[in-house]
Amino acid sequence: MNKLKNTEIKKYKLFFKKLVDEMSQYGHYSQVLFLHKIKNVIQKDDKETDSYQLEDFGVKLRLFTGEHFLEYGTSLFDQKLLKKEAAKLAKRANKIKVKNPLKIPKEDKFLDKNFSTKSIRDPRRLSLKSKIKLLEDIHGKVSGKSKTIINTRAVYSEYFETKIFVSEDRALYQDISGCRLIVMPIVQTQLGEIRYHFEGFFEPGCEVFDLKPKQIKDIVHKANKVAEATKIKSGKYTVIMSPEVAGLLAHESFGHGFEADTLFKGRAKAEEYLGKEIASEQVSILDNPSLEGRNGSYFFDDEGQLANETYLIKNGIVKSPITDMYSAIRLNKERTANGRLESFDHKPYSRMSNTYFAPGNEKKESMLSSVRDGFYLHYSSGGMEDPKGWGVQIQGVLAERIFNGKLTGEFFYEVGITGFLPEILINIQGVGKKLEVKGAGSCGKGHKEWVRVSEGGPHLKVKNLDLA
Amino acid sequence: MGIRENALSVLKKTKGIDFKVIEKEVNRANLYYTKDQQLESSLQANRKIVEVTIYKKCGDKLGKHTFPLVTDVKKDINEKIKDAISMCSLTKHKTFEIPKKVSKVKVKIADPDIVAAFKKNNIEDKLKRFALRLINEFESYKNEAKLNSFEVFTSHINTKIENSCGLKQSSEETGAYIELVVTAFINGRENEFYPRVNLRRLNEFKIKEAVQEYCRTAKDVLISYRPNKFKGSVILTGEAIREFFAPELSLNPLVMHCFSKLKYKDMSRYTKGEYVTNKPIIGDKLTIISNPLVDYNTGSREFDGDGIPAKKLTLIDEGRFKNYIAEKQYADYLDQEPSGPLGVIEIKPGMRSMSQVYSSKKQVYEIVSFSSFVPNELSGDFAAEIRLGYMVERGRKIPFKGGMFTGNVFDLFSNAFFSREMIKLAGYCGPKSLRFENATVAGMG
Repeated sequence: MNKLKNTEIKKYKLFFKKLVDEMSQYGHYSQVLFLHKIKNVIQKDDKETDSYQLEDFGVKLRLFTGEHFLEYGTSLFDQKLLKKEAAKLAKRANKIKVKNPLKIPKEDKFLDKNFSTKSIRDPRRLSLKSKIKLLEDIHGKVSGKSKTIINTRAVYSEYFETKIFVSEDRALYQDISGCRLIVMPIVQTQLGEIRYHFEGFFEPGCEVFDLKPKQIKDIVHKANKVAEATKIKSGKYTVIMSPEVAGLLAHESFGHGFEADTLFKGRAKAEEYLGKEIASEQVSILDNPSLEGRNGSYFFDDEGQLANETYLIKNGIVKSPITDMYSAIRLNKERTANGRLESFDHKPYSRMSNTYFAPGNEKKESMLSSVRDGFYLHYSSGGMEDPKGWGVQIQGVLAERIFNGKLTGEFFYEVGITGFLPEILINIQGVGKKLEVKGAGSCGKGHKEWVRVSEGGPHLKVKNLDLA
Repeated sequence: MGIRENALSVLKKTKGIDFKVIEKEVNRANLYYTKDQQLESSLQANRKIVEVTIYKKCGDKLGKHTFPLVTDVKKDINEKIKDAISMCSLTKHKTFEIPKKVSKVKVKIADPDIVAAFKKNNIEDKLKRFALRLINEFESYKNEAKLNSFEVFTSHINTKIENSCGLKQSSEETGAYIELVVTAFINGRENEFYPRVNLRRLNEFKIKEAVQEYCRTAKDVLISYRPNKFKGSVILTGEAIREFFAPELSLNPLVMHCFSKLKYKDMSRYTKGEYVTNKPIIGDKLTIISNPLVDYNTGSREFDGDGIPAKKLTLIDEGRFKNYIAEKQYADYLDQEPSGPLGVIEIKPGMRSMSQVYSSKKQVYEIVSFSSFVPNELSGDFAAEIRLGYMVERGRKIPFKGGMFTGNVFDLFSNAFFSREMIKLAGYCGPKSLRFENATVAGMG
């Protein structure tokens, strides 16, 4: 997909402004969101190479009656149809009488901006043939490299996302790209059980292919360890969380409970903690779509709010929620750039972007050496939110035993983390120095409304963590 | 001429290729109610998806590439096809045959009421009436529970498949999805229950009965305790048994290993005729049937992604693996007939009554709802947080919330018992309850 030229962007913006004018003819706040996403996927395993493309294209018209939104979405880019639908929304809204209409705040000055992702190796400039070759090369370095590996999947995917947002006070354009690489050796245990190890990588461009020999070696090593890993004895342990697991804790367990739409509905236990201490001073959690070149990055959200960072917890104190437009007005909270939608035929909700623990002062090595008997948590396959109860579910964790301050090479497969979130946060005893935000996945609200996100943090030391 | 028609016209003129074209027209109407039943948003949308797959022989291999089309301009379609043909030379598949003309099967998966409402353009009114009835029903429980917020989603989907070997299929289906947050309160304390219901027909949602059950469940969540570690008999009922066999975000590993694609890639642990469990079976022997032909079930469909018609298929029979679910490509590789799509998971009932399933001299744990059951599809391991369960002892049931049900499905079914009473839910038809012996709940204390 080629980037739009400036003249094309201008033309689109002008047309969408006309639609906004049509919708706001009776004085209602209105907006238009155009989106075009392309995703190319190449998969290679020991048996075959496969490729496909996905595309999402459509326009959303949205109008606020002063009480609720009326929304229309279509994949048909037909100017006449869009004008007709814009007029229909305006007429429908005009028939709705609202006693005390809520107002959407406007900028004094019209904001007209274009944004674009920067990458080291622009994926548009590299042919698919070259990408297949690079993928085959990585696959070949892992496949069959140990007798426990029975197949190896390597998946490369790239996305190109164009969005144009126009309302009465702004006309914004963004072009975002991202490249993901997953390497997944499938292993068979001595008892015949089939397991897998996976490593995911994300970069804004094809630099994602630049794996170092040490990284490849580590993938094969961990695959072997997964094949011989045993089950953990459930109990409370002192752990060192890798940045990946720390990020998942920040995202699933805390972040979801601090989404303003959930908060507005009175569904979030976080409400009881607003402005209060929930962890030690060294603990801070942020959501930040403006973090450059990460999977959850963007320049403005799907309701036209420019990206900014939000402290969810700052120095142990629960701060501000992330907001979408509707919840921010209802709760009288500051707008953050977190109004996001899956596609033009979905509604925006308060959603996370890049969510992570802020770095602290400790070295990973000194944190490790302080653990007499515990576990290092390498990665996890996912988790689930429980904003009202703040119960924690993180599953599919690969854990390695720490004994006398050293990693022992003894691995445990499919470990689960459970517990009550405030107890886990208060038990954070150490926060590492180095921030890593490497997550390359998607996040749903419950079981739907998928958006791309990332998560991370430094290493964390947590005592009394329930592992099962 | 639309995108599909133009694509077909260009594809038919392109020499040396085979192709498949899938068109989906999706209409949606959704209502979103926030706190105190205030309407937050009313959304209507339509989407047309045209997806083309090109197959091209490249030496002794078959190239395959799939791409979407969002334009009906023939010049652009031509360009996309050219790109796809060059991609075919880079992808490498063992050859297989493109499916030819097939028979058609019919299953009721479209709600005439939803279809008519979309056609008459009065779906929003229909949803508002439904919402009002739901809100009113909660009035009877206002001193103990409330409908915090809810969302109602409806869709009407028309699908057409056509390929270069004469296969043509079409289907019409509807969907209704209701997501509710029910909050129970007592003495200034509150907690919630978060049911999600997937249906083909909106009027299948029995408002009175559902509201009664949700309020009762939310009250149980409110008075629940946090469990300690438990090892013993664990019973799954209600949504938990459905989610166990037909999880929303993944497949049950018992089913996952039935896919021929996995077998071809040396990743399936099953061998035909052999037991699927890790240890010898001392409980009820598990029988799993895939049935895509259950009327109005969300797990039903008329054909798979290649247009192969749906059929009922026994996957696991009395504990032993029987048949693969096979799309055409992998069916050819394993030298078998393609199976059509995976359908509703049907589990054969056991001999025990519900009361026998619960019967125990010792304490048993019953789980009725998970936060989310996402097992490791290959290894069968799982660790799922419990949203609501009951500690059952001498006929008394005490609710608990939290802790994790952990284990491995291939271990658990060596000692499991099913009830003879049956239940039909979205994607699942089978016993109302399932009891695992020697199971583990990791506690929080």
